[in-house]
Amino acid sequence: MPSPKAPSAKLLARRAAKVELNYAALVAITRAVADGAFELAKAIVAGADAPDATPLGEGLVDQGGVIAYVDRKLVATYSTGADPTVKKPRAAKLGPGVVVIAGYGFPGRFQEGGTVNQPARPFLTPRLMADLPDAEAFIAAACVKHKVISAQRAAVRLTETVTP
Amino acid sequence: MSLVDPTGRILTEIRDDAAVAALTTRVRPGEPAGKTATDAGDARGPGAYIPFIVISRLGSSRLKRAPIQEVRLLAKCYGVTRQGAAVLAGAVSGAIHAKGHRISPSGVAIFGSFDDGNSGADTDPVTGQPHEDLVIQVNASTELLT
Repeated sequence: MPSPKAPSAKLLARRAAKVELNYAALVAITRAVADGAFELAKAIVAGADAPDATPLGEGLVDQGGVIAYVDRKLVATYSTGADPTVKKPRAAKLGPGVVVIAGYGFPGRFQEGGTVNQPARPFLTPRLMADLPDAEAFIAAACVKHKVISAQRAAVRLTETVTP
Repeated sequence: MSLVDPTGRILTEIRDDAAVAALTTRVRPGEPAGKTATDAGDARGPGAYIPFIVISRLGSSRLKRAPIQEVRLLAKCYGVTRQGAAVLAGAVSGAIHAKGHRISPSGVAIFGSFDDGNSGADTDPVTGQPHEDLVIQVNASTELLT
């Protein structure tokens, strides 16, 4: 029986190798995630069946937009209408990391959630719920675009993913 | 094969919750109750506000390989004041948040329900009544369990 004072070699700590954090890779991954999330949000907003969009009508809820921030810095905007400016909602809080905000301008929320005089006619949430399961594909495509992973590896990863 | 809508079950749970019932028993599906001969309705003008809740279905997604769906509901919690709306929204959140699996007597199976975010206080564009909107995520079976 081995003595407790002489532990086996497996229990001895090896001399730790120096570990260097690859900041450049982390930045590239963050940018790729932001890009993928932005493309996903664009697909949701562009695919939403806005109740007053042309050619159905010249109404009020006709312009959607997406804005993306990385570490509180604006990195991308997208608008479905003629006006390319997209303003950040006052209630939206920006934090560290990736923040993507998507939606339709005033008075879209009255259509989405209803008022005391009209029932909710949601047009954005159904599209969100339809597109959200495909989020991984958007992120993978952005990772390939930013050369974080190879196209071959992304394809293998997606085929391995079991459809829910 | 049917597709069960868990909205009614969630509405019942909110209405039957003691904290919510202490604030209001007016929990409506889709739209506020209108005016009748004996009741002035839910949505009244300034100076006559009463608390009430309207539950709407925002959307759902169904898993492809399992009889499970995720449903998102919107609970619009109207209060007499902004603070009252916030208290009502908090009571609704407490009634459904992180509640585990349960099966209703009629066979509606819910695996979990969660408070998925609150938009903060707002006012209705018609009556000016303060309200807080709560998004509720419900994971439920697509079929009745008998």
